[in-house]
Amino acid sequence: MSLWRQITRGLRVLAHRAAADSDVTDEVQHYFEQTAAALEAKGLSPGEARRAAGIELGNVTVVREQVRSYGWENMVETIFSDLRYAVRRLCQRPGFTAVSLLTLALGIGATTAIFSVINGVLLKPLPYPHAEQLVALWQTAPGVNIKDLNLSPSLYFVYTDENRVFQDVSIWTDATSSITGLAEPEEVPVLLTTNRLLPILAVQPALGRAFTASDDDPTSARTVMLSDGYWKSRFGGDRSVLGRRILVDGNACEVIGVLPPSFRFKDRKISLILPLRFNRSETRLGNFSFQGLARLKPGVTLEQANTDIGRMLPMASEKFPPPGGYSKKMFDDARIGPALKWAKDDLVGDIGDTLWVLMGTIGIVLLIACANVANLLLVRADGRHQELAVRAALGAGYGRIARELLLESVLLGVTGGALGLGLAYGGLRLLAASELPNLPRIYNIGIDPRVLAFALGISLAAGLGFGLIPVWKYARPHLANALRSGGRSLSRSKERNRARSILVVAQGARVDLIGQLRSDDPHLPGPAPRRPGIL
Amino acid sequence: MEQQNTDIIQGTLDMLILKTLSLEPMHGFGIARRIEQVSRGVFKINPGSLLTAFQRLERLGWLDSEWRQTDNSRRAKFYSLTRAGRKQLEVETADWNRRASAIARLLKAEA
Repeated sequence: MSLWRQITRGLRVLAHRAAADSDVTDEVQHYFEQTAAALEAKGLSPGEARRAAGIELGNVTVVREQVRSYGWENMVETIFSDLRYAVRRLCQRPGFTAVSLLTLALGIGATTAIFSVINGVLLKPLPYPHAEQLVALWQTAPGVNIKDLNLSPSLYFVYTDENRVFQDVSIWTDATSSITGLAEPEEVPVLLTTNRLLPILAVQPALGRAFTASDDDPTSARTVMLSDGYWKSRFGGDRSVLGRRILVDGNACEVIGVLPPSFRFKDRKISLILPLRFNRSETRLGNFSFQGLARLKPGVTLEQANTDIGRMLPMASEKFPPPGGYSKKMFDDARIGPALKWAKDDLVGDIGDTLWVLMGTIGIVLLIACANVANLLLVRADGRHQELAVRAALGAGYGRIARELLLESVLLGVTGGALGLGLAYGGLRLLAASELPNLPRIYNIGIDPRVLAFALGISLAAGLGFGLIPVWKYARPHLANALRSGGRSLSRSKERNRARSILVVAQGARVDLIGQLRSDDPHLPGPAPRRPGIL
Repeated sequence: MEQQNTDIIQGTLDMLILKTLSLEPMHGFGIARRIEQVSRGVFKINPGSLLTAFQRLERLGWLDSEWRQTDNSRRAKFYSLTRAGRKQLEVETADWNRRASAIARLLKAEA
C-alpha cells in the first residue's frame, strides 16, 4: 500500500510540479513566520525577530531545497533533464551524431542479425513439447567404412520390441507420390512412417483421426492424412474430405485426418502422410534406407540410450534372416554400432561451428565500430574539457558529470541499436526471401524477445563501453591543469593523447586478427566462401 | 533559552512526530514547538528534517495532510495521524521502551 502511495504521490508531483513547489514554499514560509512571531511575542521587535528566526532556522532556500528534494521523482527529473541536455548536444552536432549512429547501427545491426540466425537455428528448441527427449536413430558401421548408417526395418522392429530407454520408436522416409483422380495429376512430397511418429512429436490431427497400428498392417485398407496446406489448396478446406478416397500412386487411400497448420517435420515440405506398411514375416536384415525418430524416457541420457542400442544390435541377426545373396557374417563384419543424435543436432548438422565463428567475427567488427565512436566521443570531450573543468570548479560532482557523459553515450548506443535492429530486420527479411538452400530451420529465424533483449544488451554495453573512456579521462577533475590548458597557457599534455593512441593500437590489432581469421578459416566470408549458401 | 540543546536522537523523530499528532492534527511549527516544550528544550528540531520527515511519513501512509485556516486566519498545512500511523506509533513506542529499559539496566549494572 505504501509503495502504491509512493508511486502515486511521486507521479502527482511530477505532473503538478509548480503546485507541489508552491506547497513546499508556503509551508516553509509559514514555519518561519511562526518562529518569528513566537520570538516577537517574547518582546523582540519585528525586524529583530525575523533576523533571529533566520539565525535559528538557517537559510530559507536551503530548507526549501531539502524538503523539495525528497522523493524518487526528483531523481527521475534530473535524469530527464540530463537526457534532454544530451539530446540537445547531440542535435547540435549533426555530423558527429550521424556518423556515430551509422557506425553503431551497422555494428549492432550485423551482430543482431547473426544472433537471430543463431537463435533461430541453434538455440530455439524444436517446435514439439519436450523436444529435448527426441533422438534420431543413427547407427555407424566402421567395418564397411560407413560413418552414418541409416535405420533398417529389422532394426526398427528390434528397437521397438526390446528397448528399455525409449517411450516410443518410429521409422520414416520421405518420397514423392503421384496423385491422380483429382483435378490434375501431380507429384507431391509425402512422408511415409509408422503410426507412432505423430504421438512421438505430440501432434494431434486438426480434423479426423491419427494413424493406429492397424493402418500399418499391409493387409488393411490403405489410409492417408493430409497436410493443412494440401487440404486447403486441393480441397478448399472442406471438412467432408474425411472418408473420401484419393489415388496415391494408383492405390485408393481413404483420407482419415488432416494435420494442424502448425505441423512441421524437419525442414521438409510435406503434402501427405502415408503409413509404412512393413510385412514383418518377410523382413530381412539390411535395407538401411530409412530414418528413425524416438522419444527417450524422461531422464535418459544419450549415452544410456546408446548403450541400450549396443545391447540390442546383435539381436537383429538372431531374429531376422539375411537377404538373399548375403550371409550373416557380412553383417557381423560391418560391426554396426550405435550413434544416436539429438533430433535438433541431426536437423541442424554441423552448421553450428560456422555460425559461432561468424558471430565472433561480427562481434569484433562491432568492437571496432565502438572503438571508432569512442574516438569521436573523445575528440568531442576534448573540446568540452574546459567546460567540464569549470563546472567541476563550480561544484558539479564527479558522479553528476560522469552520469551526463555516460547518458550521452548510452543514448547514442541505444539509438544506434534501434536503427541497427531495423537494419537487422530488413536483412533477415532479405535472407528469408532469398530462400538460401543450405540453412536449416530458416523459417524459424526472426526477431523474438530473446533477440530484442540481446540487441538492447549489446546497445547498452556498447554505450557504456565507449562512454566510460571519456568519463575516465574527463570526469576526474584535474582542475588547475584543465583550466590552464584550456586557456592554452600550457603545451598539449602527453596524457591527452594517450587514450587515443591506445584505441588506435587496439584497433590495428583487431584488424590484424580479422585478417588472420579470414586466411585461416574457410568458413568465414572471404573471396571464395566454402558455403555460399550461408553468407 | 540558554540551556543546552541536543539534536533529536537518531531514528526517533518519526516516533516523536507520530506521538505529538496522536493528540490532535497540527501544522509543522506547532509540532516542533510542542516537541521542544514537552522535552523542556532538550530536543531542538531542524525544520528541514522535520518537513522532510512529513513527506516521508505521508508517503508511508502514516500521515494525512490538509491545508486549513489557522486561528489567526492564516493558511497552514495540518497533519493528522492515519489508522496505519496509529498502529506504527504503538509499534515504535513498544520498541523504544524495550530498548530504553535495556539500556537503563545496562547502565545500572555498570554502576
